[in-house]
Amino acid sequence: MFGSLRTRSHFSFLRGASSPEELAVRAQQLGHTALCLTDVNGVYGAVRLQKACRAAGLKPLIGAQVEVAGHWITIITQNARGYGSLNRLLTTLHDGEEPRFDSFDPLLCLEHCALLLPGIECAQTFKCSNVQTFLSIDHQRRPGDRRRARQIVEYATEHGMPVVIAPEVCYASGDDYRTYDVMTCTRLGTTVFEPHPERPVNDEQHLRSEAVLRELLPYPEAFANTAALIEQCSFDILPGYVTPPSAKLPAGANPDDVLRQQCELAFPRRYGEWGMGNGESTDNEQQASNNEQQASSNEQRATSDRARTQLEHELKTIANLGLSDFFLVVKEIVDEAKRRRIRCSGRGSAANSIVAYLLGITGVCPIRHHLLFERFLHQGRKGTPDIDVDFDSDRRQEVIDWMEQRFGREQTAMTATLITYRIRMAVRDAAKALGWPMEIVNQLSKAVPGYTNKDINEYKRDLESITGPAPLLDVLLRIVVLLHDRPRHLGLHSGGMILSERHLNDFTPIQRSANGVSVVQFDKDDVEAMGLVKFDVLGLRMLACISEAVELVERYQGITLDIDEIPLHDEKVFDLIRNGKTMGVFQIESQGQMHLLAQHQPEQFDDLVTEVALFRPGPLQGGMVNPYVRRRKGLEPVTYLHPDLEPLLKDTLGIVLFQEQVLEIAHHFAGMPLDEADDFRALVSKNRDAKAMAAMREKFLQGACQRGVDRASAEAVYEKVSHFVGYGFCRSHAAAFAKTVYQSAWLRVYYPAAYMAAFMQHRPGMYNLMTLEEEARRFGVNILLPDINRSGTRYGLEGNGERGTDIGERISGNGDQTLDARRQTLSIRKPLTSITGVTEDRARHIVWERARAPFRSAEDMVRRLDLPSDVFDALAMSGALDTLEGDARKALWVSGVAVRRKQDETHQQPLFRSMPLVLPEDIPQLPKITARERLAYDYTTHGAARVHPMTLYRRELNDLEVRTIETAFGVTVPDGRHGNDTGVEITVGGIVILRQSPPTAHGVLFVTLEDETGFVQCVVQPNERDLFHDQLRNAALIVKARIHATKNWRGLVVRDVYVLNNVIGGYYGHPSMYGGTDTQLREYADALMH
Amino acid sequence: MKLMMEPIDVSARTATPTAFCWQGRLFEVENVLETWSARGEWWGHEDQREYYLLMTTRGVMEIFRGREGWMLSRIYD
Repeated sequence: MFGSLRTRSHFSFLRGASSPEELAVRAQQLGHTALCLTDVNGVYGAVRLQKACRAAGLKPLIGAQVEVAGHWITIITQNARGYGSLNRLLTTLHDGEEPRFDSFDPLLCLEHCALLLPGIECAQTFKCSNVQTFLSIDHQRRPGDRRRARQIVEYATEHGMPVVIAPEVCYASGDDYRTYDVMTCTRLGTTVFEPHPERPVNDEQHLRSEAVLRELLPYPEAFANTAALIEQCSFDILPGYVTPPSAKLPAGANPDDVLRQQCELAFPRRYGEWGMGNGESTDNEQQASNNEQQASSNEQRATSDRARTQLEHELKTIANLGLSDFFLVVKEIVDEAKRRRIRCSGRGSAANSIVAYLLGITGVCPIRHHLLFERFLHQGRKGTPDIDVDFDSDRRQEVIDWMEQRFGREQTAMTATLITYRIRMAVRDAAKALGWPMEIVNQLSKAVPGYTNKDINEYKRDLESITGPAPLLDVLLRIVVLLHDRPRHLGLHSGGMILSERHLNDFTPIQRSANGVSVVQFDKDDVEAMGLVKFDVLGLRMLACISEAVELVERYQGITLDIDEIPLHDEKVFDLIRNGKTMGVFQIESQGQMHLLAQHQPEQFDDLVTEVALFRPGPLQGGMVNPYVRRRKGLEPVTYLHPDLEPLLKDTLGIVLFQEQVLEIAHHFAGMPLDEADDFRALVSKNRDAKAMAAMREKFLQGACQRGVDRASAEAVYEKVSHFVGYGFCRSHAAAFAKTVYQSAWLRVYYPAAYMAAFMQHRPGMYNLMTLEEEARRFGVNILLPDINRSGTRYGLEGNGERGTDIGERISGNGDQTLDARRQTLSIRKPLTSITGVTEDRARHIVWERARAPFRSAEDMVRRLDLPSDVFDALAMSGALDTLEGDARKALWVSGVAVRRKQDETHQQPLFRSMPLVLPEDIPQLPKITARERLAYDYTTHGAARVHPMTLYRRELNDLEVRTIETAFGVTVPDGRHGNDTGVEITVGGIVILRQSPPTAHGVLFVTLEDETGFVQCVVQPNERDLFHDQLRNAALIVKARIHATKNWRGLVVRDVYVLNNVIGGYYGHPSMYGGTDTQLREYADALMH
Repeated sequence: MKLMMEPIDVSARTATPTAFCWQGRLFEVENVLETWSARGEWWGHEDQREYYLLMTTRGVMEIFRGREGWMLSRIYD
């Protein structure tokens, strides 16, 4: 037997240049029989190695290389115990700031491992009888290699130590040497032009055949030892079964029985009593009676019966797959979150399951919304299903902390994610390594997109315009291709928490992320392959926003809301949605969604499910949106490519909209078994593997034909379904999201102040603070400035003349009339934390100090607070001291004097410290603050102005016949005119608040302009985009455009663009503050004159 | 040890030098003490060198074969 014992893959992160798969293929070509992966400080590539070796017919060995007291030691695991032992060692290693050991002591704890020591000095230092130890010899055709090998063999013979052949391999073949050199330069922060002892001197660190090595290292005994060591090692990391965490069960109870009991308990509450099984859990007679009344209609009875049948089917499947424990564990986590009043909501395919619904994991009934369980779980599924639960992002960490406590710190950790080279990062690293100066490196990396599937050569012209015709540019392009997709470093998965029944070190080392989170060394696919169970604990800011809005309503309006039980058919809510007043509403606040809402005009909850699913890359790229809208409006007939599709696509008017429909078509129409149909769905969604797609196509067509469908129809259906590419939603996910859409819209309609305050606090959307404040004002919600004596650490509410944010002070409701009045008059008070430089800690310090007594003046504030002078400046400029000093200029002056005196005072005798910091003669007659200064102070200190910047321009713009954006909303399509083009041209000006060019738009640029009356989307076609390329990059624009109108939506198709300079003029420190002029506006005026 | 970097004529058997000629004098190889390889400037003019440390009839010499043929690299005192 022979194989490489010291092999680094690209999972050594810049210390190895080939994947485990590439190494395995090359090893097989060279006639090796084994391959030992020994990545630096980890076993990151172990799962992939195992799979690759299976495919190549090699014996996989797993190990690692660690730095101990300046020596690189190789550890090879001999069996599962050895693997666990290595993982424990690596976990200890990663606990330190720098992953290396200062002494050999930690190695003494290893068991069932072999150690390869790289040299005589290392062998002299390390002595241990517990671990099998070898001296390793290497020959990389560097000067002195032959001599060193001979010396090691002589030393080993003298001391009775075995020697093995273990050249250090860093890449599969010699061609990979360049990639390795660039990686090394990147790691060392050097360039290819600079010598460095760690850079490779030649290209010999690749896999070599046994024959070549025998020639270089003529030591037969070392080869025999190598073979014996390989023979000893045997370990399979892929168990082929799942090890779910243990649920908390009563003694002797069976998880299947407990799961059934839990579902039966919830069933009557959800579906009434008809679907009850044997009545084991009907302990709440009152509730059953209520349910009986509710479920009096035949339809409800039918739903209940269907639910019962579905429940039995799911429980059987779950029991057969051994997943009852897993469901109970997830329920336990969700229950704990709810007990702590942490808002959570199951999403993704789990919402297809009635068991998940009955356990309270998801909130959408799969029966009423026709959700397909098989998309989530089916008998043939390998591994565990994904259950994704969104938690209030503010409190997600509490859930994670509780999970660590409940399941054990050693049994829980976050899944890793591999950060691989994307085009921009590859260009950046390669350009740095090739020695371009940083200024050019920055330009080069900005010239390519962060992520694209396009070939780098397509950007050659752009790059050449920066570098000029440099020969190194071709080298750069070649290197970028070689680096692309290789791992750069390890990241943290957004929420995949692993829950293990056993100590996680049996499976993986555990590292600490930069922010202290425990993370394993494998990504989600590897974790699943190892049989570990992952539960996605995701943070969703919209849930935090809803939670906080509900709390604000309770605190300031005295109303307790059960947001999960609100009726889902409120007309006012649907009016808001249909009118496109959806800024701040979950998922439907973008301009594109507003346009779609105007066309789609949702009338009920199911329409929201469709709305959420329609605006996805899958349906958009598949050209499904327009046909759907036209069919819904009755502008084209609802047709089906084959009559068999009607029951599957009826509710989406013959259009394939959801992932479940792809699965159902494969199952019912093409006769595929459910597991195969799910594979088909997954393949179609990804659409990456052309070979696999071709095979699946044939299977689909054959299956359909066997069912009696003619080949032409089968092909037509396949073509339609296979266009469902890219990212599309599953119906269950869309339904779960639609509920959050509805809840957020409902809060916005009925509690706008509380909702917008919560929204500004968590900022879950896409608009900036200024736009949100403007929108709140348009909704009749006043925004109050931050105030040193009133603002808290978070956004709060105030009624007229009320204070509500101080510690211990709460407004309680006193009757409905008062509450209604308050609801109308509540304003949002901006928090101290909205001011630049006021961190949460500083805001807390201010609030605690204020709790002793309110601040009486700026001087009083400076004396009592320990803050940096620039924070005092920001407080003064923001207007937070206006109630104390009259205006920002005076406040700034007074606090400035006080800060200086306070600094001087610290050097004085205590007697003088009781003297006032500011005397009346210190304050001169100050000029009144101008509107421009006010605007600049607002923007720079709390991110939004109290008046819209465009108001300062309005008089001049009116003279130039530049209209307000509101004007466009008064224009409609004249009677008798087709389409949405009104035929009316308008000139408007505004600040650019969004600039988007999604890949689905084929080169069209969408620019959203805002003025003091509203905002509107401007559509810039590719021609105009090229023509006005430079102008469109500016922050404020005047556009001449044609108005398009659909219901309440307005869009402007741009014909001409001018720059509106310095609209937000008077920035602190900006030249315009001292009288800057607006040359572009004059240019526009001149153009109008001529 | 002196750095030379001068072209030489080499007589080799299966790529291993057996003798070389420098400045009109013949150097017969008695023993190959060491061989190694080096790569340089892969991003520009690719240059791979095969080095030989030789015990010759006139002392220890380091020669290499590179892009521009055989060169005498160093003379060891």
